[in-house]
Amino acid sequence: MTPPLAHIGHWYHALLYLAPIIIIGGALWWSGRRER
Amino acid sequence: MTPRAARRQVAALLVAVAAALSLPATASAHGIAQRADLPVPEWLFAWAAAFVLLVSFVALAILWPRPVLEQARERLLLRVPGVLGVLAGAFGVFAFAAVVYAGFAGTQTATANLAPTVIFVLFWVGIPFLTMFVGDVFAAVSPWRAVGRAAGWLATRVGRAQLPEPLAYPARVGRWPAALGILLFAWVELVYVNRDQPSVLATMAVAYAVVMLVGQSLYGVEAWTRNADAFGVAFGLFARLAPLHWRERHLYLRPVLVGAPRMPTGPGAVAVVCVMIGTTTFDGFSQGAVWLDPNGLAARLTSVFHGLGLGPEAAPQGAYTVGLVVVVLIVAGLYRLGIAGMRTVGRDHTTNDLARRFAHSLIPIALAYVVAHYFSLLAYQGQAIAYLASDPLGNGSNLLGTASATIDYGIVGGTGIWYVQVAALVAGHVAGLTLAHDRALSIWRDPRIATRSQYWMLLVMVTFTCLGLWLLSAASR
Repeated sequence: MTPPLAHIGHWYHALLYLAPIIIIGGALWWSGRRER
Repeated sequence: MTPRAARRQVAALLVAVAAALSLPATASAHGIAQRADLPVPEWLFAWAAAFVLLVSFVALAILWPRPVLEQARERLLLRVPGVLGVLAGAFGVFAFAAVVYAGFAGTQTATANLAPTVIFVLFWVGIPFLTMFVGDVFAAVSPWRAVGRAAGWLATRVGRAQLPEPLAYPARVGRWPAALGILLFAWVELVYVNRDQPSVLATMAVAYAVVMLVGQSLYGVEAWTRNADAFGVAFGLFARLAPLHWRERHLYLRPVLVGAPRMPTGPGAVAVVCVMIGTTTFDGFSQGAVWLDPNGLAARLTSVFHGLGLGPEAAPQGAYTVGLVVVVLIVAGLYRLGIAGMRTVGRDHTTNDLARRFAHSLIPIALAYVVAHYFSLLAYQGQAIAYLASDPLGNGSNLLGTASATIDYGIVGGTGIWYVQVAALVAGHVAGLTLAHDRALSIWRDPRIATRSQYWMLLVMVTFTCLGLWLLSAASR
């Protein structure tokens, strides 16, 4: 079985859909921490 | 919730989404195909949509300091003649009878028979599209509601019989029967192998109508329709977003969205919206490579069911059933995480209480998912009604002279469909954010605390938006 990383060219674009969630999640977490 | 627990939940949310988006099964022969004339890659639309949500969130925090939607008033537009309700009900009964008759008596070729197109396209997809503009159309044309009301009227007016009082609808059950009904309909649409066979659909339609009539006779037409009629409840929720409100022979005008905060929040309210979003999500997911690839989740699950002794027809249905239920649970879990996060601003409300009170903010998302996923189906397959109305049985008749009509696939192109899908998802999630913000203001009063409580909902909305666009993008490959 080929390791998934060998096919990264085929699925990395899915991670691009995840990026906004991580960025906004991180920003909100940081903002919430500062407010506390 | 302690800050540590809150961080754990954020991490769980991100891990769940990461797992869903980056499953290695996408490592198939599918390339990163784009719609030829899009100015930017599809994933960039997800970034833009997330940015729009973020800007909307900030704008709401600054410009919307008091709850507005909860107190908004309706304006009487006109009185509706009673005969209009009777005619609408009669039309619904006639349409239902025509579909059932076509299902039993017509050809069993799905595309040539009236029943599958009317049930899966005009009814399940067309009514939500119509409802968001003109209000609760289905309440007027619902065949079982029309028959139930007519039976009650006949018994009291013509038969002069004193009908016994209906039983009290069990409050504990709430809208759970509707949630179950929507899940079953989605199962038939997405899982059941004989879903396209007109006679099977006609049998199911009759069975559903019988259950509705029995329920109405026991608990009363309105109580049963409000709680247990899956379609009445689902379309009724969409109607809460519409600017027109039909009530007791009067037509009212109201700002869009203001019907949503008045959604009943009893048992099953959250389940209904989560099932609506989850089933549409699974419809998109099950058309993508993660699910469909030769080494994808469907194949793996099917082989598990083969191993358990299920046959070649039952094993894939088992796999799709598991997929459907798991996706609904994931959607419910994401919503639950967003709600649990709200408690970081104070523990004066339970998670269950908040979940029910914010459930209405999911209605526009459910509608957005329907528009995004089924717009092309309605645009293309909806045209089939032109020839099916003339030849409902598929036996070569030409009742209206339109039997030779065809489907014009040039009516809207792939790029146009994509823009409609993106617009629907963004608008639906901005509307969801607005409803949640307004409800937070009415619960916490202090705008700063209310805004802070919605950080998590913003993250949930961004997640649903990116997930929806990823599903649509993956399904188009």
